Amino acid sequence: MSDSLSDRLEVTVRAEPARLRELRAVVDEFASRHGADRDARDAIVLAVNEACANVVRHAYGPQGGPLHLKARARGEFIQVLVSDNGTPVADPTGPGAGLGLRIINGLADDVDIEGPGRSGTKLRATFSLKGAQARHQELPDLDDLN
Amino acid sequence: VRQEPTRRRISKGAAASGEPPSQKERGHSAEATSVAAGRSDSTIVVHRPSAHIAVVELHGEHDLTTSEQITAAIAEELRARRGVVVDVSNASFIDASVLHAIADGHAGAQQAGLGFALQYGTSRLVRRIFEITGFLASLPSATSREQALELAQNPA
Repeated sequence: MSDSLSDRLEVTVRAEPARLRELRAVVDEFASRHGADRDARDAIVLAVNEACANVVRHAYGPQGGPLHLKARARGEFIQVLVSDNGTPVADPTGPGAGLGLRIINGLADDVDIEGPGRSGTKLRATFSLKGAQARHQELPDLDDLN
Repeated sequence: VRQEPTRRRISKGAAASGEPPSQKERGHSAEATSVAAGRSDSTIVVHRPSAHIAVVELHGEHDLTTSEQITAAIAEELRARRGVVVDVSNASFIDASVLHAIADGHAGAQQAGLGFALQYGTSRLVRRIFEITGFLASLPSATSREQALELAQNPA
């Protein structure tokens, strides 16, 4: 399920609750391999889980669909993209998703949400490899992960 | 990852892991219900140290795969007019869906005039989600079983 290059991670799974644990493990391993400290790994795992859980809950109806997780290491940062191809059955940024999004916003150095739209929703988040030590430092100009 | 069929079993005084209960657990538990949820290392164990109190213990990782079962386990105890302690001190991971389940349980206890408390421990990830959400400020909480039981004796 994974196509992992040296500085990139690409995973596509069916959007269902049972896949959340392995997605957490995959992104934690990627962050660890690229030098993320304990604090940063925890932040990435918690935030990616919430982003993926939002896809599981909101992106598709009963027929389900794919969940895409991409990550790449850029200098002192890891960028993550969680996306789907769904037409949301509920607004993933609306009521009920508030706590998950608050967690993501509280843990990532930068968050950008594109959609929901006809081609699904994309959530991009950037994390410092040095976790809390580097929080509030100025983000470099990173091109979007797509 | 293959998800095992959800199983629910009731065992007297035994934890879901199959390991024998500790001396402390044996001393406290008149009855224990184990709900093995999804994976064998993600379990919900319900102890009833007295007729009026239940402890819902979460072991391992808990997320959308188990949050509905946590909600149901808490609701069942409240329906039986028991105050509830939710113990996450043995949980290695919880997410927003679990926080919602606990918050719903707390609200249910308040509506029913029953006690409710959260027992938490030292897991980094669990502590982090509490910090980032300010969750501990929203309900009675303690780091020891004794304190949590005391809090759950009285209506929230």
